[in-house]
Amino acid sequence: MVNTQESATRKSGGFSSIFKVIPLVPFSLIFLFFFCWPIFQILKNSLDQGKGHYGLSAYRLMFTKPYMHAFATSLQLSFFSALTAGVIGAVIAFYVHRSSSGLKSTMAMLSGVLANSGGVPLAFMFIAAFGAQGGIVTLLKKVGIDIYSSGFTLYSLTGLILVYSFFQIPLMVLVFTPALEGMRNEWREANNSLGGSNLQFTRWVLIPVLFPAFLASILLLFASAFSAFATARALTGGSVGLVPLVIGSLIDGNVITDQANLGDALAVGMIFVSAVVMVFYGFSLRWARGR
Amino acid sequence: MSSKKADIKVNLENLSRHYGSVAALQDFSLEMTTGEMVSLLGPSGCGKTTVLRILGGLDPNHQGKIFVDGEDITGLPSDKRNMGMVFQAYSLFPNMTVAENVEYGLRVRKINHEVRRKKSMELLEMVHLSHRGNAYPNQLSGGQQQRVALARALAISPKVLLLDEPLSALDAQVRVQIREEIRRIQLETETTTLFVTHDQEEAMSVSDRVGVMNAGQLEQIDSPAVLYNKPKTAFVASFVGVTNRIPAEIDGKGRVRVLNQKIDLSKNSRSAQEGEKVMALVRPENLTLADEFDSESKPGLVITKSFLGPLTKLGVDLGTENLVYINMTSQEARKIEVGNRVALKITSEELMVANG
Repeated sequence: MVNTQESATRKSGGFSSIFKVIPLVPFSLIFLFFFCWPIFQILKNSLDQGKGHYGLSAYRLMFTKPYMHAFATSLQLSFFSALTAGVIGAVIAFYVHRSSSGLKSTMAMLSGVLANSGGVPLAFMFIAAFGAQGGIVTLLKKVGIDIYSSGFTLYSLTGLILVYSFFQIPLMVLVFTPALEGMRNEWREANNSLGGSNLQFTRWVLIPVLFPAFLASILLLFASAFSAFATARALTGGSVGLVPLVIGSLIDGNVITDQANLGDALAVGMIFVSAVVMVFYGFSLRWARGR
Repeated sequence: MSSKKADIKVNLENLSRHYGSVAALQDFSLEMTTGEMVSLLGPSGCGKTTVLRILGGLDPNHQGKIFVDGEDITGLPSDKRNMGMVFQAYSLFPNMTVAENVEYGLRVRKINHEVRRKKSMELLEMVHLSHRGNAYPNQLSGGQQQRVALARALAISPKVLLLDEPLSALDAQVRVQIREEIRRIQLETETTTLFVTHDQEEAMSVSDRVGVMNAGQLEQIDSPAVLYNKPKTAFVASFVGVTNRIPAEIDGKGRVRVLNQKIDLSKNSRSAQEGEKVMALVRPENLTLADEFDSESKPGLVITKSFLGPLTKLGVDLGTENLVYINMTSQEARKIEVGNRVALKITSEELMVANG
């Protein structure tokens, strides 16, 4: 009798498990065909040396100076743009968080729009403003400030950091605001009633509580900058060697003989860097939620 | 208690505070003696939390003075008042362990680490959480978090302990347990304590005195027994405990006619003219079942019967707008069933009345 009951329970449990899994099927299919399958193909192609031979020649090439330099530049751009936008965005988010609800909703809307306004239009907007003959540059020249004479150029790494900040800062405002919303007013009041100053509160409570969320947000910005393509392409036309631009150029057909799979190897390299960033991002989020 | 300590007291003199055109607090005065636990009780928005926040320096008052130990602290910022506070919402610092939270007030005072650790362990011992010193707040239950918050507030040896509805987020069983713990610790440490709550059972069970507030004013402050038995206003009579509102009429000679009886009006009752229709405020325990249906009782039908352990509550329909509730021992109530006809009598010698 007991066995029959157990068996019945097991059967009903099996059915309910199936019903629980069904809603996940569409997402799983998308994940499989648009994420796993392309990665597998890239990985396979990166090893394909033609005529049925597989090997690591593309990877050996990837580890040579020009391509390692592309990785270094990409990492440098991602790191500095994420850090700059992260700090500025966090400060803006902090002041917006303390402002009226009207300003909060306006900023949320504005940030949502600006965070998604990268690409070619953004590049041309910056060329019109900060290019050698751009509006702002000309205006500054009229008041005696020539930023180009001091070595600045929009078509450089510094220029790219400036342009990336345009969509990275609002992105930071968007992703960091929830962490600020989680700050309880009672913490500040408890600090005050216990005799703590605002500086002590900032040092011992505010910064440690917000740091994991700040780190997670920075990593997200890093990943976003690392994979950005259109803005850099439109702005520099490939003069700054970034990994996505190199891959783009390989896809466009600028392929050296026997290096057809180099683009795939570089893509695998990007996937590896992104995966490492995402692992740290996951840890930061868990750290933040653990609070 | 030393005589020096006995001198320490809190004086709130004529405090007022407005939010725009709304008066949250009007001409509020309160005096607390050393080691006393005073509760402020009242409906939402009556101004009880405002009093506590003004005393703690978290909100400013627009008028009036605050004295602690005879010193005027009215303009002093909260971090200079040395008052421990336990909040309604959990307020432990999430990035610190339980022990670090308790030590926080001593850390800002730059007290030596060893001394801090010793003090925090003593306090955690007091709240029965010495074994959780290394845990983080999110690893504790709500009740445990509030006990740690209490230990943290006491660590600075506060002049006044402020409790802002600290039990309202807890479930009923834990609430009773913690409120008794709060009272035990308060008596042990002889800390002058202001306790704000909307739960009258909570206020009555742990306080030396209870102040009932309404619309930004203190209606009455007295010991729980006096407050319950001798309310000074109709609001207090209605708000504290269960009170039946029974239609009545002023009978002249300072008496009120209710349930076919003539009973003296309470001295605290508002003045009323002869023939005026009013509501008599009668506690359930001041009603009894008459042995027979006579001209000095009022007949009615038992509609509800609720068993409350040693007591049973009957809801009787007297043909008035609301049921009239009467408490009796469960032993006596055994012979009464829903649907029975009964006769009610008032046993109290004086009554308070409210507007009809």
